[in-house]
Amino acid sequence: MSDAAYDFKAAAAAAMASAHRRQTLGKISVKADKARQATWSSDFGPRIGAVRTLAARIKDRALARLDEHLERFIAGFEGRGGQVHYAGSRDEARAIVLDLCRQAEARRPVTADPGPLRVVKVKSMATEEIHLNHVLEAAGLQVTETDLGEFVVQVGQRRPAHIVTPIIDMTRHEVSDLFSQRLNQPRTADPTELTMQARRLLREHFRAADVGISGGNFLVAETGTLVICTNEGNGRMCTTVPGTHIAVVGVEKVVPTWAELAVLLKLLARSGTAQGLTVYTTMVSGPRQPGEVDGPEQVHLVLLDGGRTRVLASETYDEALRCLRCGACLNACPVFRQIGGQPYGGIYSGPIGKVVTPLLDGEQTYCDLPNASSLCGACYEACPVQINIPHLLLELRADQNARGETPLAYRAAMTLWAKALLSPRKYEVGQRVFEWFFGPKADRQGWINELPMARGWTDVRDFPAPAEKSFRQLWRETEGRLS
Amino acid sequence: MTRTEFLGRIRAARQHRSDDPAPTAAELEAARRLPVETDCPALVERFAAQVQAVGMKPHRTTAAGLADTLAGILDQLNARDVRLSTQPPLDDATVAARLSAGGRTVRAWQRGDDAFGADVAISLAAAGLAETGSLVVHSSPQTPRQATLVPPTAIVVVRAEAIIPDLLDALAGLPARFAAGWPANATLITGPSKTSDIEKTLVTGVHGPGRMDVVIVDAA
Repeated sequence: MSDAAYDFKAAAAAAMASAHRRQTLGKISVKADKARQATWSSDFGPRIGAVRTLAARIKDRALARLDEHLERFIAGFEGRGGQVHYAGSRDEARAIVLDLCRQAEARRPVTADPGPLRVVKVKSMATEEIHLNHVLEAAGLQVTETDLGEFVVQVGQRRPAHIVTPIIDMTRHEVSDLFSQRLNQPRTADPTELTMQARRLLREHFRAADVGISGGNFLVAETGTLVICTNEGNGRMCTTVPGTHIAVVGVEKVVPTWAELAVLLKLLARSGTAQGLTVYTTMVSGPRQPGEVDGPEQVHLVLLDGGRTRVLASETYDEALRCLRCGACLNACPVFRQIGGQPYGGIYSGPIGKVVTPLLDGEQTYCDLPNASSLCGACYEACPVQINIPHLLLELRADQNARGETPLAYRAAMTLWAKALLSPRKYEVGQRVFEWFFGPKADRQGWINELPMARGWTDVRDFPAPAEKSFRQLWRETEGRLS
Repeated sequence: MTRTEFLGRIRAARQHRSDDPAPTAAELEAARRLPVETDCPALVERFAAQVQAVGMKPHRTTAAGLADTLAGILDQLNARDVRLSTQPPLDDATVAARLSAGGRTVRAWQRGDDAFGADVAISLAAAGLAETGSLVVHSSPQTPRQATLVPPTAIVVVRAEAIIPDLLDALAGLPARFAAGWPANATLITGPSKTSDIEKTLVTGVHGPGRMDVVIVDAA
């Protein structure tokens, strides 16, 4: 474990302190998970397995010739007047976006006091991944998140708690407190009125904005088209009203053809929010064309590597790049249902975050994440592109062990355990020792409340006391009749 | 990074992966939504039902009844300031005349137009999608992006014969549909603007229209 390791355990414990919050989170995620299952089965019936396999194959195929599909995308997109930029690292991505904003600033009409450059943003994991807002704000730009949840996150200076629903952990009263304290809005307990408060404030931001920044859900290589999925309409506002649109998109988002995009789109919203499609599926193929009434004069796409080629080069972890960021694995996860998204430390939370955050942000720093799982497999079942997350978590653990990062006592215990399991005689000796030592510690109901070498485990659970006679003893005594 | 460096790094990283051919049309069929409707009346029925299910208001009319249907919706909304896309069948002079009755302002879109003050915009969808009740709209000189976005109500007209069964058909057909020139912005719209960010409570009309009327024009 390195000195700078992220303290996941403390963050998780803090998040679990409120029973009310845990119940709310649990209720919402269970409901979302059931809705996904219902939609999958009503819309695809027994074919759902085949659809998921097909989707996984499409993503794998896109990744297998990623550079060629990107080249095709670039040719189409630039052919209609869009501009593509290449960010190898997060630093580079931030620098490119800031530079594009500066250029937009220089194009503004000369007035006495133009004020700071105004940027409106669509909810985007890629821009969160590169911590874009921080850099733009430090450079004196006015940045406004326009997705309702992200707007609340920004006003409250919080962290998003979920890939799809960023304020899943907040009550309506907390939102109203924030709006009244920071934005001078009248208090209300009505979610509709709260939403309308945000609508009125954000409309003014859209009208005045110089630059719109978005992410992207897909890049269609066939024609060079950027696809953005949103429900609120802010994505369309940001790609319609400001004179400049900048999209930051991870390279793994490429889909070869439109027909293949259909398969992925069909699964994305159904898996994430149990919708057939998100309300708006926006397909941007370039800037405003001659004769058009509205639309940005400039459209820029910043392609982000940011560690993705390192994952792509791995024969073990490359399947993590299939992820559509639908959030289904979060809703299905018993750990996420208890702690929510914030304790994961990275931008990506839940099961997929336990894989992606160590891979993109450092395996040593986020060493606890792969271990915060019972490997129950619910995430694998919920994943529309069949990412075998439990397997990837095991691989990450094996890597930690191979690097010698697991505690000595743990390694010693596991070595002993492995030896015992490999020999019937040693196993029986181990069993006797356990019986002799812990048998007397059991309570009257037959439970051991505390195991000294596994206190973390028995803090919240009891261990069953050993039976009076082991199966082997019983077998010997009854000559296999067992009674 | 230059484009060559950037793509070169990706090429080196993906060397171990084996290529896989594109899925065939037969393989893609697995993703078709159940149940599958094919004949036209059933398709239109299904589309209207899905439009309703996602929270938009379906209306059925004929070419002859279109102007009256639209005027009826505008009356109900008490709309005063209306933007009209000048595409057939909406470009017919009788439509504009019928809608302007009673002193209502009805005008075509102009360059640099800002519809933040308008009550309603009426536009034409290129297609409807029976699977999800979606509308396929795209930007053009007659129909800006704003038409289905900025005013609080959007009325979208779709011809019955332009209704497509499934997203597979719609997207696979796009390259042929736009062979003459790809629109800068195309959008699939599936319902009114919505959010459930606050305690998972559904609220419509967040940034886009809170009300969407879909007028299906049956062939006479």
